[in-house]
Parts: sequence; structure tokens; C-alpha cells
Amino acid sequence: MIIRCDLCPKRCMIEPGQSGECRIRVNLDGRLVAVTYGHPCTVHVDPIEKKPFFHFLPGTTSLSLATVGCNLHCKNCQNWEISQQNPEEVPASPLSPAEIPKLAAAHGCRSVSYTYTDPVVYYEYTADSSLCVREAGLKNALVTAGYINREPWTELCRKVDAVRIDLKALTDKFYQDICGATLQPVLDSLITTRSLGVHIEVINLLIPTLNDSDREIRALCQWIVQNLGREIPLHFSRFFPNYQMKNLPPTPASALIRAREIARSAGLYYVYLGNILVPDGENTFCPECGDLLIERRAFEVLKNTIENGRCPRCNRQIYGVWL
Amino acid sequence: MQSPDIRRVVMSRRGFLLRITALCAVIAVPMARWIRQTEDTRVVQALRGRYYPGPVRPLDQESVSRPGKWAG
Repeated sequence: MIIRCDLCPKRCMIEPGQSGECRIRVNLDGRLVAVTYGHPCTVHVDPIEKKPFFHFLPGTTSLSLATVGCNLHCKNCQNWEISQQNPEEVPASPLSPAEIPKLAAAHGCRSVSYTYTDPVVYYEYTADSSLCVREAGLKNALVTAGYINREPWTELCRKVDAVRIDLKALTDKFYQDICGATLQPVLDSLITTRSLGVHIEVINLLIPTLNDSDREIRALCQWIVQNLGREIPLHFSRFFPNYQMKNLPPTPASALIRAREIARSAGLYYVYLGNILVPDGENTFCPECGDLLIERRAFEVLKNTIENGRCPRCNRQIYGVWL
Repeated sequence: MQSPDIRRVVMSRRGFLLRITALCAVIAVPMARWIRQTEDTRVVQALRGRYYPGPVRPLDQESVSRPGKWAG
């Protein structure tokens, strides 16, 4: 019997014995089975800034895990060795949802991040683990491309505390040509997340000649301002040649600095530059009085003056989930 | 020239209805089966897999405590 997987917009028709495009949702005897459930292929303790989350428990560590598989096939994927592989080819370790908060607490983590590949495809593992993590008094963070149908996404958002969504470009052509996906479901996920009150940060990888024109950057920033709000942190990240996209050069620093100027002129309060060291690229300033609130270098927090989520100088509330 | 027997050329009402019904059945029956097959098997939540299909090894606690080499 053929199964249609309605988890993500690809709606794969899966023949018996076959998997969907994500490689890990398999039709076994007419039943859809998540074969990587409880078996992450990688588990690490990362600084939360590595995700990157800059307005979510800054300066803390997060137990970060992933299983094999992804529903997107980005030509520039940095983690293709785990995202674009079959589970048969990648070793994994047994780790039940109930064991995750214990492991996180043992390593002094304040949160668990479902990251590296895409937690959307190991949906059931993410959902069950999030409940266990929340029960243990820790927080959950998703690092995702947001390519999922509305109903399952809404359900998952109710179980997590923060979502970092990769908005790869604001054109359907980019999503189709580079990622094998479409734009609209990602925009829908962003709007749904915001409407549910879950903390969001957005990242945009600037790839030379593909999505780095002033017009495209401006359109992306304006979309965020109009649909999510000025306070949503936006991270511009530097591209490095990788996987099937080794023909393009790394993003020049000037392009990232220009993108930051465009984002600020569009009205965004918190704009960051990642994968590169430039002056104030990772620092948080108060949008009211301009005071330096959080000073960062690489993934390290050097100074954090935010008190109870507010600027200590002008008392303005700063968007985020603070300690 | 002899004119053709009109009863052999013109279709009777009963014949016409029979043919239309047969044609509809030929199209509708497989379509209904196909629709039912896909409609009935739409799934969002998968069953939790019990067995990992690839190599399984115990969690390396030392590697867990180090930041991952992967992006994100």
C-alpha cells in the first residue's frame, strides 16, 4: 500500500519498502515508520551562540543532537555528510527521549537543541524529547529550515521555547534551484511561530551572486519587519564553498556589512553577522539608547548587562528569553 | 446503389445508455480505487521505529562534552 506522508509540503508518495525524500520516514508493510527514532547520529554540548541564538539564554550551553536525514537538498549544505545520507550508512547511538534531559543536566546545559540536520524530519523524536526536556525544567530550541506543513508545525511549536529558522532567500526560484523546495511554506512557518509567541531568530546565508543583491536583501528585511516585527533578530551568515557549490567564492566582508546597513535602514533592531569577525558583528545594542548590552566574540559572551530582560540604562525591554 | 439498413447504423437509446454507463465505469472504477488508496493512507505522524537500520554504537560521552564539528 502506498503511503502519503503529510508531514512536510513535499507530501511524498512512499511505496512499500521505500522512504520519503528525507530518507528516514519509511513505508514498512503499509505503515509509516520514523526509523531514526531514538538514534541520534551526533550529540554534542555547544554554546547556544553557535546555533546561532543571540537572544535566547545567552552564555549558556545547549545539548545539541541530530539524526540522519533532511527534507531539503541544499547544494551548499555544510552538514551534508549527515543530512544527505541514508541511515544505513551513518552510525548512530541509542538515546531515548527520557535520557536526553538527564544527559543535558549532567553536562550543565540549560536547553536542548534539535539541530545540525532538520528536526522536522525526525519529528516524533523531537516532539517526544521536547516533552521530557520541558518536564525536567529545561528549554527546547529548534534549528530548522521551517519546511513543514502548518498543522504538525503548530503542534511542535507548542512544545518548544525557541526556533531559529533559516530563511534562505525571498524567492521561490532560489528555493527550487538550490534547495529543492519552495518558499511559501517557510514564510507560513515563520508567521505561525510568531503568532504562537515562540521566540524566533532568523538566519540568512548570503551566497555571492545568488541571493546577495541589495534588492533581495531589502525585500527580505522588509518582509520580516512587516510580518514578524522589527525586534526579530536577523543573522546574516558568511557563505563558504561546500558540497555541490564549490564554484562560488566566500562572501566578502563588504557584502555582509552592506546587508547589515540595509537591514538596519529597513527598521530591524538586532542585526548580526556570523561566520566572520567584523567590528560589532555579534554585539547587541539597545535600540532605544544605543548602549552596548551584550558583547560577543565568536561563540563567547564577554559581557552581558541585560537585567530582567531590560536595558540597565533606559529600562527598555529587549526581545528574548533571558536568564 | 443500395442504401444501408438504418437500424444497423443508428444506435438505440438503450444501446447508447449502456455504452455511456460502460465508459463511465471503465474510467470511474480505477479512479475511485486510486483515490481511496491515497486518501486512506495519508499520514502525518509516523510510528516510532524500534530498530535503527544502520550501525549502532554506544554514545561516546567524551565526544558529547565537546562542541560539534557540524554547523548549527
